[in-house]
Amino acid sequence: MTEKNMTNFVVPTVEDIQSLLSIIVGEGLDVKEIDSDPSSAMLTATYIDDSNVLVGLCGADIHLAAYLSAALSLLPKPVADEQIKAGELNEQSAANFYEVMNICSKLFMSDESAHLRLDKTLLGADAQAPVDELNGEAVHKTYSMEIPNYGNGIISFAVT
Amino acid sequence: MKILVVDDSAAMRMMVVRTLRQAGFGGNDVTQAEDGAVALEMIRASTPDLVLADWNMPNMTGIELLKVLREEDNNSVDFGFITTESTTQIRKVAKEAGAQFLIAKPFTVESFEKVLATVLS
Repeated sequence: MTEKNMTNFVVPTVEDIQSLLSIIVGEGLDVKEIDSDPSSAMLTATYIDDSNVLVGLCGADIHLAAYLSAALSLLPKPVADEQIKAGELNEQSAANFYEVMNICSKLFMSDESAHLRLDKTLLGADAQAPVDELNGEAVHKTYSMEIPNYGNGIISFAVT
Repeated sequence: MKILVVDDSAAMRMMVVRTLRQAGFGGNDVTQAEDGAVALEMIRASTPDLVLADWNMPNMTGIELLKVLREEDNNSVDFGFITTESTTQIRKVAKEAGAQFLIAKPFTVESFEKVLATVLS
């Protein structure tokens, strides 16, 4: 069951996220909604509408970004753990993270909704600017995810 | 058979090639292009048996590539999309432009087997 906001984009639910991302990480993905500040994300994906206006964000902490990126390429957990320890993604994981965020664009849309697409992914200090830009105009939700064979991380979604 | 994989993400091209192999189509000659414009030049130089293209790409999108092939080049190469753009409306646009199929990202080995078995048989 999806939840729609006033502009017709979709705010993803636990079921939406599990259904989509289980295809990448396999069965056993555990998703729980939590009460958390989305501005704490270290990596942010920005989504734009067909007028190139920022309309959505997906934020992730380094744990989730590293684990999802590793799962996409079937890389072992220690590879992700090294990047978590370093506090940044390597080149391949950053490319994989972009692809996961591209796939997550589907979470904001339904057959009845407006259209959006991934614009870019931002890392570190750059990740905060779009959060501030959209803050106050967006509906947001944050989730804790336990990725089977990898570990736990935080993901948040915001859409105008 | 010659398959051209078109996607602006090198990571995704690698995954498509890997999934082709896992689905039993590894024996084909697979080449890659990073956007529609590069793909168009490659196809004009030597038409492959199948094009697997992303939808959103810089320089020339997948649907722009397909329309040029069908409307300007009169090229009937087998053409399918592998894309996150999988709404009913997008599928309709793809079909009307002449695409044989659309595989939604994230894809599975099974989705490749099911769709490509007919095309590559």
